[in-house]
Amino acid sequence: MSDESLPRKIERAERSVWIRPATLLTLYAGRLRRQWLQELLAAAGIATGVMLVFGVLAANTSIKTSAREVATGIAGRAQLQLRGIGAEGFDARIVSRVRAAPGVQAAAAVLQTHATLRYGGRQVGIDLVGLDDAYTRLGGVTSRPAMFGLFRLPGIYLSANAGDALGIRVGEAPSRPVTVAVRGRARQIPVIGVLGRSEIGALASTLISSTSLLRAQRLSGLPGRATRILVVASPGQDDRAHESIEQIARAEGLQASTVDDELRALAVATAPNDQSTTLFAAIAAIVGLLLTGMAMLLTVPERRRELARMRIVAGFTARQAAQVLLSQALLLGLFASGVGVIAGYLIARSSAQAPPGYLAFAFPLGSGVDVQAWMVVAAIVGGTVCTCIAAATPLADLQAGRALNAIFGTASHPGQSISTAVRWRLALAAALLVLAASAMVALWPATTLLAVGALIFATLLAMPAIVAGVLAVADQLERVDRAPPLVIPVGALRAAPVRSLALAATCAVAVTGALTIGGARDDLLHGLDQSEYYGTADIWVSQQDDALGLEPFRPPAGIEAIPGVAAVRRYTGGLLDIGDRRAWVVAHPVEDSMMVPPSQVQEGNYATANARLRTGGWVTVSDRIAEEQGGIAPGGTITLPTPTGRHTYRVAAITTNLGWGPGAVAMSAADYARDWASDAPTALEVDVRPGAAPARVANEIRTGLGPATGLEVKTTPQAIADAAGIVSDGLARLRQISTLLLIAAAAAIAVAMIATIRDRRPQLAAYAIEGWSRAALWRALMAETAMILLAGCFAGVAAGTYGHYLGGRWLERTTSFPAPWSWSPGAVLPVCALLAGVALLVTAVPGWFAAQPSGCLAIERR
Amino acid sequence: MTLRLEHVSRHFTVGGETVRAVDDVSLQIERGELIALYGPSGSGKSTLLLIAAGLDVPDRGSVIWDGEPVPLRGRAADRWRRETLGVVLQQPQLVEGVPLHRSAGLRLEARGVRRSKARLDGVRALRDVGLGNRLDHRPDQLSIGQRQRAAIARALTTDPELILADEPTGNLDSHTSGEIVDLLDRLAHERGRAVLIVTHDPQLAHRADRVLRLDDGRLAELDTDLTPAP
Repeated sequence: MSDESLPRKIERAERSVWIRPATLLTLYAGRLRRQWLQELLAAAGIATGVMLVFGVLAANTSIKTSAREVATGIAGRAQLQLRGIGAEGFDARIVSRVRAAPGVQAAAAVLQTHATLRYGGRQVGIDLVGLDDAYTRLGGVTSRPAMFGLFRLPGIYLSANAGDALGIRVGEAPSRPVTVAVRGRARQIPVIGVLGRSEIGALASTLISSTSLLRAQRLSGLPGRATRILVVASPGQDDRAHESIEQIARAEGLQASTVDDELRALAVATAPNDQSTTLFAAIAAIVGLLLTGMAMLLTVPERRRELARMRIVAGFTARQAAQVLLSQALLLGLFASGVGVIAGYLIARSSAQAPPGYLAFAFPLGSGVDVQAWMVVAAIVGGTVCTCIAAATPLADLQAGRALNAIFGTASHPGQSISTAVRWRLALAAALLVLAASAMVALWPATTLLAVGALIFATLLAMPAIVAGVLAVADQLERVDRAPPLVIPVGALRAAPVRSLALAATCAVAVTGALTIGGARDDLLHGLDQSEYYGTADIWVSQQDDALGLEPFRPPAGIEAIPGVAAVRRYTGGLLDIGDRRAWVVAHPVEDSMMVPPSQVQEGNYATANARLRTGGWVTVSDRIAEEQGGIAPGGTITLPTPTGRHTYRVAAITTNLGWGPGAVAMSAADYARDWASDAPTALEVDVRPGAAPARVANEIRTGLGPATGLEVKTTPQAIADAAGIVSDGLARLRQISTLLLIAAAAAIAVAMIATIRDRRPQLAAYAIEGWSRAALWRALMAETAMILLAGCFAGVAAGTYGHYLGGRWLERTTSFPAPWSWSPGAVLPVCALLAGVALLVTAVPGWFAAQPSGCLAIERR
Repeated sequence: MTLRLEHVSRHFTVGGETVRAVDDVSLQIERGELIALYGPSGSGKSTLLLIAAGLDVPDRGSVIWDGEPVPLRGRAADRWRRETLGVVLQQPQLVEGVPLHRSAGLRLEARGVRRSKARLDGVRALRDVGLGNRLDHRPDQLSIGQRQRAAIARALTTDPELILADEPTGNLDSHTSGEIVDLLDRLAHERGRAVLIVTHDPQLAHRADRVLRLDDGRLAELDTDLTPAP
């Protein structure tokens, strides 16, 4: 029986169309043994691309996700809330009325204010949250055993992140006295505990400190006040509870909303940033996937030969050969993409340690990375698909007759030549694509991402012509007797055009992406120049860490009497919820030289607007707020909620968002004091006498305030620098994305060059046998890398500059951030220098070793 | 000008066992002489060629050129190879992607000769080997035999005294092989070069003035009655 079945089995196996998975694995194991270094280098390139994709995806979604966790952690079961308007809060006794209101099961008063903690020479800005006893019934974090001391012990709890910033770790001995500076006053209070993730979940990663409501009121100098009441509705009575708190809100000048409204407000606040980073993250992801494909493309010549051997020598059918090729690409792609995801996670985690500072003023934010399943799947599938697509190019050889090329045509890399006509056609297609993309953006600005994608694709199409141009220049240079010998690098680049193009294209897309992202970021930084805003005084006094001037304080007496001080004025700022927008209210005193920064006025006359703001009853609003309020134009009116009720103002001008994503409202400090029923400033503007040095006067003021103050004194340049730091913080992700993109591309190019150099050792050995010195061969290898980088950088700078223009205009239109176009060689050179420097440096070392190969490599039989 | 290998040995340890690739071999090549080093695969021919070219260091013995030890390292070794040696490989490693006339003079450039002169000499060498009508062709536009001739031309540009050829006809058909052997024969007998050819092709070996047979690293005998090598 077995004698009969064996031949049949063999026959069946021979006729079988498919190769068994175990056989495929065995074949791949064999390839790994033979070509382990090539596979390793390809895997490194693929992993680099996927790392970029995943790192960017993960970093881009972390803020909102962490904010959701934080909001849930604080609110517990509460679905509704009452919020005070303005930083002064409202009478906390209102909570009794809320508890007694129909449909309400439980309610707790919360006082939330910004504070600065100092301990052992360190300091950190935090949200100080005071909670009343009823809070435990809401099922939030205070219902957990770790927080039982909150209402009984005299002190404060710190989140792990806040503790870490002060050098106090989770579980370290309690009762360490820290200094809390709130609303201009500094006091010492012991730390009861530092709470980690196991105790308070996602809140551990926020910068937050909690204590009892009473203690928070004492610390902040707001006795009997609260800023928020969290409400749990009775089962099935949500609508009734909502109606009840709406009535109370109307009566008390509060805002009633659902707890989810906080997230909506955050979504609005982060929307401009998210829109910008999503665009640029998408660009980075495109670049990452291209890097992946390029890394695999470099192994194609060798895979072609392997495919031909399979077909001709081993007798595989075309389908079986394709199966082997693609299964190997699949395995390599999956493995390398997995490694890339891990590396990307580590990068995203390190870049997400701190939430953007400007948002932390308005929202309790967490940090850390939220890895969602779709990101892992997208990165791995994307990386693997790109790997398989690049690996599939040799399948063209399965056409009859072409397989022989790969084995016997060892002179070059057969089938890789790109004719002059094809080059021109591709360049023409690239030009047409750019034109079409430009027209598309002009007509439909929302298609900018598509246009930038088209621009990157056009760059790829133009690469053959650009590389040919660089080689033609090298040819001309070579005619000069004394010019360096470029024939070896030029020959190497011409002999393997696909490899050369893949390398140059990697460089080009990286430079394009980095310049697009970095340029738009620089535009934003220029647009958000704070010198106008702070230029109204010589010295600014505000609560520590409150660079935006949002926290009111009791003004200290006696500053006017300090020598050198000419005048002291009260500036007021705050946050105001207008619909879903947590807008920034800017209220300069009328004595200021400017009420609203002139460069930010979009509609209306600046001088007129300035004069009108001084007269009172007038405001300027951001374009987005104006649009949402029914398309208000200068001269129109807007009604704003204030602690004293809803007030109607006339609109003097329409502005940009003044750098605050949700939008801004500018009014006079006098209007603000009247309608917010508070004369507490959030900053003091100090003018110095003519001839007095602001820095010296600032020191005098510091001395006058004494060590116990919670106030910070800054000269105007210091205030501008701090504010610029916050703006820069907010754009940190853009910087991280562009830097990551460059490093990934440099690493990919270096890895590819190492693989290329290794592949060419036999030829280098032949040159060495002929007497070429190690230094000469090394110079040839470096010249080859330099020519690739030159072609890539040239194409990248051209496309990147245009991408920067498109991206900047898109930012301005869609996010309302001021982003005036700016370009300078100073912005372009570092990008090219970083990429070229890293690539050359990494190539130099293996190049040096490869430049003195063993003669055996040339002589050994292939 | 004479190349002498005196009691040369080269041993390797593979998998714990010692392989005697070259074992106490002595030989001498005079100018105007064409010598074939014949033997089966793995007999140590290529190792001996590397040692003769100063590219591998023997464990014992010495390599003497013109009465002086062949320099093995550093600039002296580079210079010796540039000025004295011409190597022809089984896989002709031409400069891909550029026409022959641009790369033929590279060896001269490596010696510091001005590029314009080096190229002229390179073109002359190409004409000498019958490639005068292929000057603008790139290597991938040539047949394998033409590529091999181009490699020989490049080796000849510096007018080397000693030519070492490693299986120069290994990839060629019999007709093209004949052309290459004719070329090497002329170099030895008309231009007075010392030519050492490593081969396992008996027909090529037959054309040599002397045939040295290498078996298991040992130079067994002078052999004129050749049987095909496995």
